[in-house]
Amino acid sequence: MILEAQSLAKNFGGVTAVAPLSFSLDHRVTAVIGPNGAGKTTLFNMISGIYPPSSGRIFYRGRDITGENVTARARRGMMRTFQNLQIFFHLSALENVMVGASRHLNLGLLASLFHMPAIRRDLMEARAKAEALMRLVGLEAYLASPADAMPYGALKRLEIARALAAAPELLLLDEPAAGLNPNETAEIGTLIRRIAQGGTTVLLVEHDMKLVMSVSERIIVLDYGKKLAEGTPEEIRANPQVIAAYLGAGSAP
Amino acid sequence: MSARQGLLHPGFLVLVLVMALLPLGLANNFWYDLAIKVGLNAMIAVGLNLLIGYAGQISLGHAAFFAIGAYASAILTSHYGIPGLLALLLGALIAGLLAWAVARPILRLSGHYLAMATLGLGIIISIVINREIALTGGPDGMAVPTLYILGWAVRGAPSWYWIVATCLALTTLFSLNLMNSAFGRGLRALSNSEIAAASVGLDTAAMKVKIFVVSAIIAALAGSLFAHAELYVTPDESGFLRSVELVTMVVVGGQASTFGAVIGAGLLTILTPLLAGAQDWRDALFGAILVATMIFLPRGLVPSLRRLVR
Amino acid sequence: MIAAFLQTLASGVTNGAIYALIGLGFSMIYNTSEVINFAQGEFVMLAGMSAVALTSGGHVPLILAVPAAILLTTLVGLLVERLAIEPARHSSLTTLIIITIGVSITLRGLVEVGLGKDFHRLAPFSGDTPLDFAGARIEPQTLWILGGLVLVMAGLAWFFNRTRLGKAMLATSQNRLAAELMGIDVKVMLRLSFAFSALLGALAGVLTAPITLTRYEVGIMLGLKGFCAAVIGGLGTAAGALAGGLILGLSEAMAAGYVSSAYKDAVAFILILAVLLFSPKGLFGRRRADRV
Repeated sequence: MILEAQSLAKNFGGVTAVAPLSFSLDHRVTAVIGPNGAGKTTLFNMISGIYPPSSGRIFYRGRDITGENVTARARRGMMRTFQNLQIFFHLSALENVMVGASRHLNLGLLASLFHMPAIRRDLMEARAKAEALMRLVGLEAYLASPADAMPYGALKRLEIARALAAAPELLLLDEPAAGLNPNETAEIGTLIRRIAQGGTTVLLVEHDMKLVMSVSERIIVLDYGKKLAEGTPEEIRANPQVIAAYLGAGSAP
Repeated sequence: MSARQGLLHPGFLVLVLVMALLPLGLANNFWYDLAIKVGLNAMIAVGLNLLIGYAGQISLGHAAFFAIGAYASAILTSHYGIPGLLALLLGALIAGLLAWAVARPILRLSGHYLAMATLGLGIIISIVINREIALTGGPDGMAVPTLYILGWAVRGAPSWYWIVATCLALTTLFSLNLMNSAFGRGLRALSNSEIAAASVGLDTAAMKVKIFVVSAIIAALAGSLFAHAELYVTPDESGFLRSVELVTMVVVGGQASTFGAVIGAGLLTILTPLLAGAQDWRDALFGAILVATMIFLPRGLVPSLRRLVR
Repeated sequence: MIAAFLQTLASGVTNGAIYALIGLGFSMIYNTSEVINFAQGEFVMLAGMSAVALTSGGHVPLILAVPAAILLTTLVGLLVERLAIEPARHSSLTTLIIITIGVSITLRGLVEVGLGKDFHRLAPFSGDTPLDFAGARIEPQTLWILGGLVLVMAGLAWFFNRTRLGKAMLATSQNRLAAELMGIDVKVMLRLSFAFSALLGALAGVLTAPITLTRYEVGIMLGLKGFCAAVIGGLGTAAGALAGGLILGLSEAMAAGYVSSAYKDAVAFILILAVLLFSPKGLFGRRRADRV
C-alpha cells in the first residue's frame, strides 16, 4: 500500500473544505471525482504537501509523512502535475523534463562550479532520459522547442513528462484533461494506462467522466468535503447517491 | 538550448580574446584603470546575475559585500599585518557568513522580503563603515598596502589588468558551468515556479541561500582586488546608490545571461568618463536608461538581441 | 532632564509624523498594485525643492508656493505612473521595482541639473520663534507637521469610508479581479494611488523642508526611512504606516539622544531587519494568500 490517509481534514477559517477522510491507494489508477467545491484539489494539495492538514495523518509506504514539506515528499517519489500549469517558461521543453529528474541528479555546488565528470555524466543521462520521455508522451515535435512556444495541450503533457522524469512511485495528476478536446483527452487516457502498466501508482483528480471511467480501477467520490462513495467504475456509475449529487436529487432512478 | 562546454563556449572564447588583445589599445594608465574598473564591475555583475537573472531574486545591498571584501583587505593588511591573500580569503569568508546569516531566515519568505532585507543590511554596513573612523578611516577612507603574492609586489595598472582579467575569466567560467548543471537548471526553474521546483524534489530555500552566498563572496573578492589595485578605499563604494548601480548593470545587460552581465557592466562603467563634460547629467541619463530598458527590453540587452536573431 | 526628554520626544514625534506620511504613500501604492515605489522619496524632495525654487528671490509668496509645489509634485506622480508604470504593468514585480528605482534616479538627476546641488531652506510657515513647552523648545513648524498628519488621517478615513471612489480603491486593493468584474477601472485606481502617494509625499516634503534643509539628494534617505516605517507597521495598512512612522521617529530620537547620535540613521534599517526576521508582516500587516 503506497499511500494511506487517516481522517484527513482541512478547515479554512470557518469553512470545512475536507471533512475527516480516510482511504488507501492500493490499486494502479484511482480517481477522485466530485462536483466543484467538493474538496478534491484541497485533498490533493494535502497529499502533496502544499497544505498542512487541520487534522489526520498521511502515510507513505507505511511512514508518517504528515509533517513533511513538498520537497521531502517529492524526494520520496511522489510527483505531481498542476491544475494551473506550472511550467518553467524560461527553460526549453527538454530542460523542463530534465529538471523533473532533479532528485536523482548531483546538485552539489562545488561539483557544478568545476563541471566535474559526475556532473557531465548526469547531464548526458538526464538529456537522454528526457528525450525518451518526451517521445513517450508524444512530444517528439517539440524536442528542440522553448517551453513558451508550445500549445496548451502539449504543455499539459510536458508536465506529465516532467513528473515522470524521476521515476515516481506515486503520480498525482491534477485535472490532466482540463482544457483538452476529446481527441487529446483520449490520448491522455492512453498515456495514463501506459504509465500505470509501467508500475506507477496514479491518483487523479478529474472532471471528465469519460476519461475517469476509462482509466480508473477505483473511484472515490467527494461531495462537500465528505466521501460519498468508493468503488469500481461500474459501482459508482450505478450509485444513486452519486447520481443525485451530480445531477440533483430528482434525477435518481 | 544546447549544452555548450564552458571552455569552448563561444562567448567565453570571445571574452578571453578581447581581454588578451585589449592592452594593445590601452594607451596609458587612465585607460588601464578604466579597464580594471570594468573588469571588477563585470565580476560582481556576473555573480549578481546568478542571483537576479537565474534565481529570480533581487539584492539591493550588494555593494556592502563588495565593501566588506575591500575593507577586510584594507584593515587586515594595514592594521594587523596579515598577508594579502589571507586577508582576501577572510574577507570573502566574512561576506559569505553574513550573507548566509541573513539569507537563511529571509529566503523562507517570498521574494520582496529579500529585497527589503538586503536593502537594510547594505545600508547598515555602509553606515558602520562611515562611522567607525578609528577602524576604517570614516568618510575620508583609508590607504591600502600593496598586495604581495609569493613575495612579488603587485604594482601598476598593467599588472592589475591581467589579474582582474584572469579573475573575470574564472568567474565567467564558473557561472557558465553552474548554469550548465542540474543545480543551475533547478535555479532557473525555481525562478519561474517555486512550487513546481519543490514538487520535483528541489530544496528551493537552500538553493536560494547558496546562490546568494556565492554572489556575495564573488562581490567580496572583487572588493579585495579593488582595494589593492586602487591602494585606497572609501565608503562611497558601499552605499545604496552603488548597490543600485550594480543591479542596473545586470538588468540592462541581460538577466540570465552571463555575458549580458559583462556587457552591462562595461556599458555603464564607461558611461561616466564618456559623459566627461556633462557629468551632471549622468544620474538623469542613468535612470532614463534603466527605465527604458526595463520597459522595452525587460530581459535586458543580450537576451533581447538573441531573441531578435532567432 | 525632563526638558531634554520632552525635547527628544518632540523631535521623535515630529520626524515620526513625516515618516508616517511617506510610509502612507508606500502603502497606498503597494495596496493597489503590490509594487514598492522606490521613487516615493523623490516626491518628498521634489515638493520641497520646487517650493524653494518658487519662493526664492521673493517671486512667489509662501502661501501660494506650497500648494503649487504640492500640485506640481502630484502631477509628476501621475506622469510617472503613465510613462513608466503603466507600460510595464504586466511585467514581473521585480521589474516594476527596478523601474521605480530608475524613476527615482532620473527625477533626482533632473533636479540636480535643474536646481543644482546646494542645500536650500524653505521658510517656516509661521515663523522661527520656538515655543516653550515645559522647558522644551518646540518649533512652530512642528505643530504644522502634526496638524498635517492629523488632517491627512482624517481625510483618508473619510475618503475610504464615505466616498464611492475611496471604497472602489479599497475594493481594488483587496481583490483586483473582483473589482474589475464589478466594473471598477483598475487602471484609474492605479493612477489615483500614484497621485495620492505623490500628494502625501509632497505634503511631507513641504512640511519638513523648513526644519531639515532640502537638497536634490534628500529624497533617498527620507524615502528609505519612510519605507522602513511602512514595513515595521505593516506594509499596506494606514494604521501600520502611522504606528511604524511614530515608532521609527521616537526610536531614532531616543537612540540619538541616549545612545549614539552617529548611528541615528542606522536605526531605521536595524528595525526593518528585525521586523523581517521576526515578524515580516509588521505590526498590523495582513496575510496575502496565493492560490495554486
